[in-house]
Amino acid sequence: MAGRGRGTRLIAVAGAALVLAAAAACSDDEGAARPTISPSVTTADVTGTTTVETTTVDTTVTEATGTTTVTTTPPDGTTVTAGTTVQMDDAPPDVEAWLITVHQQNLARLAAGRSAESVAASGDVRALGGRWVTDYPALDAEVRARAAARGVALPDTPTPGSDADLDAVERESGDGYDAAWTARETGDISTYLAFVEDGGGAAQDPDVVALAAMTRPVLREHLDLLAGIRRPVEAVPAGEGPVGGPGRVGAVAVAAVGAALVLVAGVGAAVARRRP
Amino acid sequence: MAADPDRRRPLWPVPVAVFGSMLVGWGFVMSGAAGPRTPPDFGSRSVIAADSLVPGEVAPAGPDEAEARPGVGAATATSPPPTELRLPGRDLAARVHPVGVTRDGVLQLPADPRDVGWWAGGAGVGSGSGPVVVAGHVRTVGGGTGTLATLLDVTEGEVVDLVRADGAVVSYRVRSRLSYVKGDLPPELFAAGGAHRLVLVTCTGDVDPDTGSYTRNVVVTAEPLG
Repeated sequence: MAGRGRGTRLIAVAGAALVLAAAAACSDDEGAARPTISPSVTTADVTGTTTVETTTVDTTVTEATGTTTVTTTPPDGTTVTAGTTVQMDDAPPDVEAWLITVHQQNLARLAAGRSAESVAASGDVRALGGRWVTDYPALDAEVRARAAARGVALPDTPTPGSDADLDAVERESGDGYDAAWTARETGDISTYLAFVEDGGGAAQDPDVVALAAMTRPVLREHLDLLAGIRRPVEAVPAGEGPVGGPGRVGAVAVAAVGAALVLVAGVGAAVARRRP
Repeated sequence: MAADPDRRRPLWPVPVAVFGSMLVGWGFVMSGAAGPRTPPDFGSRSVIAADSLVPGEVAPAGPDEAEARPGVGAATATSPPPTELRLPGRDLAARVHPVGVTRDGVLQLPADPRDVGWWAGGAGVGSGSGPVVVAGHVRTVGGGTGTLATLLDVTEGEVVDLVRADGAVVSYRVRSRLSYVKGDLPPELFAAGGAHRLVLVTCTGDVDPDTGSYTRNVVVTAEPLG
């Protein structure tokens, strides 16, 4: 069991080093492929700083003590939640599931950001895509560090459903893409925020608490940004009929002519019967 | 030799009657394809009148948003999006997709008329204020009759459920059904703020033979249960 704990720590350190490198690398990655991040670095002690626009998180992973120390500075800079110390141990299933879900959300948002940067018609949506590409890898760096410290293996890709949703958005073009992208991101980030708020069965876990505190303001800010570019509804074209048809008036007129012909035929037949 | 009386009868009424019958049938069918009859209105227009009538305005924060939850901090300000619409009284359900608005103000809708769209710029389900807007095709040429065609038959007091992505079910009760000439939808239908309400929209009226689009919208408004 002790050997397993030491192995877990080594993995944790390697993962922490990786995520700090990946956080820096992701924003420079111009590749169009959906995001994947793979561990490859091993080191004894790692200290790094991740800044997500309004929240600063300092992370220290120390092999000797087997602890991860996280310091979070909220946007106002007046309150510092410091010294959250997490023992390196195997994560309970709920915590593992929480970390995987959040990681896959980050990957999905990163993919959406890259998509918007290259496909969106408007500068507003492209700019949001750029924010996603900056912010979500930074958030994910912390998720990966804590997952590594807890011995949680994270998937390399978003969920298949998420990929399918993005494919559907990318089938639109121009302004239609922008509207679909904005709607999809609003829905998905709302879902992501609700998940982070709820915490599931892991709400009391120190890692989950710290990550939720770090993630929540970013998601709220992104929802505000999305709300800032939304447009009012002016028309709801909720149906389509045959083009080139007679219309209701024309159809009724034709039916009336038909009825008149039937009537004439009936009268004609009756008159003919009465003739001697 | 007496002449056959049948031979003296004219034959023209027969083809004329057949042709006339065909015209009646064709006209009947095309009249149906030209769009559903606009259903009668019920309920008050005041149901849709929000306190704050600025289209696109951000809804004020609800009182529950400041509440803290143990372990993870403040409660969410934005509820998860709806994933399913149900009319339990009719054993009817439709998938819900988030939809946006194009530059010309047109609400995008799922192409499949069995599915419906939730306006992502509107209120969240159970959010405490503002309109949750859900719309869907009444009918499409390739897809047939849509789920929301049932709005043409819905009655006051019927229950409509929205299932959110987190599994929560929020129920609403139908209060009004009003139809509008397309293009004359009142902005307050979609305005942020005011009482929380569900706004369901589809099309009705005649089909414009030049464009294939319907001439009217029917709007059903429902209030939260409980």
